[in-house]
Amino acid sequence: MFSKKLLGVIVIAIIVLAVGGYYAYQQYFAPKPELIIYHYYTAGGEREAIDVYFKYFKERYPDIVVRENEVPGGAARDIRVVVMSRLEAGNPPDIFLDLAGANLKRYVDAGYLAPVDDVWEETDLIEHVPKLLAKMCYFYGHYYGVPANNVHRENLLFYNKHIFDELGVKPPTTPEELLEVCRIIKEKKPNVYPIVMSTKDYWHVAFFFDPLIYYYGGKTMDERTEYYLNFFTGRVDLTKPEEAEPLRKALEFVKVLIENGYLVPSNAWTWDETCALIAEGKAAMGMYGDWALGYFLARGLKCDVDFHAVPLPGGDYEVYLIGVDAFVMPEGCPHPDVAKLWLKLISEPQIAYEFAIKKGSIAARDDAPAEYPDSIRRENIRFLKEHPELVIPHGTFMLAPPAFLEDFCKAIISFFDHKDVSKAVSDIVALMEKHKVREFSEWFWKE
Amino acid sequence: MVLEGVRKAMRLGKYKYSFIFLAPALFFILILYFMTIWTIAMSFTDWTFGSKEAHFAGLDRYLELSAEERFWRNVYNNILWLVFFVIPSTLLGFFLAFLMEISAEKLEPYLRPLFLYPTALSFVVTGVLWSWIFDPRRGVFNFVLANYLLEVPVLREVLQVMGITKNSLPLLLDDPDRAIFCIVMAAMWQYTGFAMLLFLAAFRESLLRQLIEAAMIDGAGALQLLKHIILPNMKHAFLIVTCLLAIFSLKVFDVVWVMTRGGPGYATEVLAVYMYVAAFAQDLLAKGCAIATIIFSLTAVIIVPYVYYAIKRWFGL
Repeated sequence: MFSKKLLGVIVIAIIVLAVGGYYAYQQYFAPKPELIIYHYYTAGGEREAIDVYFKYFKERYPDIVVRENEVPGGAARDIRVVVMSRLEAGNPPDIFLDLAGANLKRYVDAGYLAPVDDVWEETDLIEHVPKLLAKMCYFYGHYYGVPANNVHRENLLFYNKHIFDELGVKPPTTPEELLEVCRIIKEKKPNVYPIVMSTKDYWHVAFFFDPLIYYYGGKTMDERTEYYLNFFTGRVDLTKPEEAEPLRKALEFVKVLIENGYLVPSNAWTWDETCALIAEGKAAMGMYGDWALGYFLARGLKCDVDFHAVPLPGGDYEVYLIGVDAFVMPEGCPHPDVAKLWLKLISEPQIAYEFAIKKGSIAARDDAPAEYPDSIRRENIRFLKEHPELVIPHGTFMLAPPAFLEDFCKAIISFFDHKDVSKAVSDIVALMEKHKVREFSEWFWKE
Repeated sequence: MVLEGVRKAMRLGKYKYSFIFLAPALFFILILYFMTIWTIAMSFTDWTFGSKEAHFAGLDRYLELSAEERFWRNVYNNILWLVFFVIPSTLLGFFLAFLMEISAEKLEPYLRPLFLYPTALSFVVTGVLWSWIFDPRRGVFNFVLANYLLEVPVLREVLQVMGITKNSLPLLLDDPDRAIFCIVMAAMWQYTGFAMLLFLAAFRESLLRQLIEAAMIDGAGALQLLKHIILPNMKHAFLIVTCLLAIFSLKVFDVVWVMTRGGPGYATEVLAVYMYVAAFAQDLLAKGCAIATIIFSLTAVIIVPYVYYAIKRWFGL
């Protein structure tokens, strides 16, 4: 009798321990689903933006452990080092962020990315994002990666509104007008730098120089667009004087700016430090993508009051140079199902909109809310809808091979010093050849 | 005979334990050498990011590099580092150690941490700090120059001869010809304390100390001490300091990257920066390996005599 009781107690104890142990194991020790993610949204505005995604993801999937890895460095410069090492070592993360277009293609060519056509279909992205943006993620018949939900405009001239109001000057829309505005600023406010640029973040140069290539590329909009796209896909024969003429004009223009002290490039500043100069009224203007808007807003400045931005070239020559970041899922990533949950979540219109508000950009989806608090984005979204034919990729970042970017920007920076137009042209010819720009960029011309 | 065998076994037994304790270190050293050999081997291929396989390409990467203006600029910059970083840092380190040695003993506890403090900092911190100082338009360096030094008549005359006036302050990090010296100066600030420490350790060797004390009792002055006692007995310290600083100069990366990213253009770029850019920004992994191999070879030129001297000294050969 006694032994039966004891046996019963032991059995119950074992059951309780087993259930409790199992619960404790599940709660504390069992491997939980994870999302291993790498991104470079760390600067003012960007950090707040990606936190929107993390907030929603954690709310919706509380059981998934998010392993966030920040790799600071604009234009995806430093994240590649980390991601490349992991990919080459066969140890990919679940999700990482990089520029779409040419950058994405190099991963696709290497066989490192998994197609995510199902995400595009399930979220109706195909129907709701601009065609060009979709093209920047589409290679060899598949979609690789999902846009980080921003259609960045990469040719915006940000300026300190107080300085412009005080001097009574209008924001320039052409290089010629820019020159005149610089002259006035230099004359009336000699302690203010007319245009600032970071050469430490060498890629910042492309934000100034690419729009000039577009502007000087021809007489009509079609000619300009054609020259610009051909230039950055290596289809312009720069050894022929007539074909190199737009490049020469762009360089001559930069030379005038440098020689007059209108353009102040500095190796001591990063891109956000140049924004700070504009915010503080120590500089008047700078060329950036709309992501700089996030920086100014994060500083507590008010658009249309403290600062503003206009497209350059603008007015009759207006163009929308598009830049896209994309979240991608590597082939063989440890948690593909979780990765797809992330990609689907960031594709939702409302979440995309909230992200864009913080990021300074506009949401990629046309069914996302379109009420933006500042005139810069309202104007961007209007132009995007009304003139899709004038929305073209940002050449250095989206079209040319990534290896070309660093060399090209540094060739322009060297030109700031030697100011020899012919040397700069021959340097660029050599770089186009060295990086096989034409061969690499063929993908852009294929459907 | 039997006794000899027992002794041998005992000796082996003693070493057996040594090998057990050394095993982890040997494991990591083997990995290091494996990776070094792997890097050298890959430099003779056409390996790029994402390439499915690497093919033997002979000396192509090296020939490619030798034809590049950028590569030679990097080599030139590394030579500038060797000359303008190693020699001044060594001499300054020695000078500080000497001053500390002959100064009143009460001062040393305060001076030593003061000079050693920069050595404890990360290069990233040093780089950021000095890039702010050398910002040509907003930095402290030009501020002091314009508002204090150029206010002193004698200094103003001297600086004017050098082309420096209030309206034409030095461009510092923006000057392609001089930016590298700004970075070198930042590195000197950080490493002089380290050199001083090594010299100070050499000064504290009992034999040298006895010689110094004896010479001081005999009434030798500071210069005589330096010429006849200290310098002849400090050769090994000079060798160690110059070798370590030279190795640092050849593989310098972080402070350059943080302060200028190798710019303006390629003006301050050194081999290690180009290695990083080639491998990770341009996807040219084999080229990165070739540059790494060149840095390794140059470093070996310095390491070999250093190791030879160190072994000779340690084992009293």
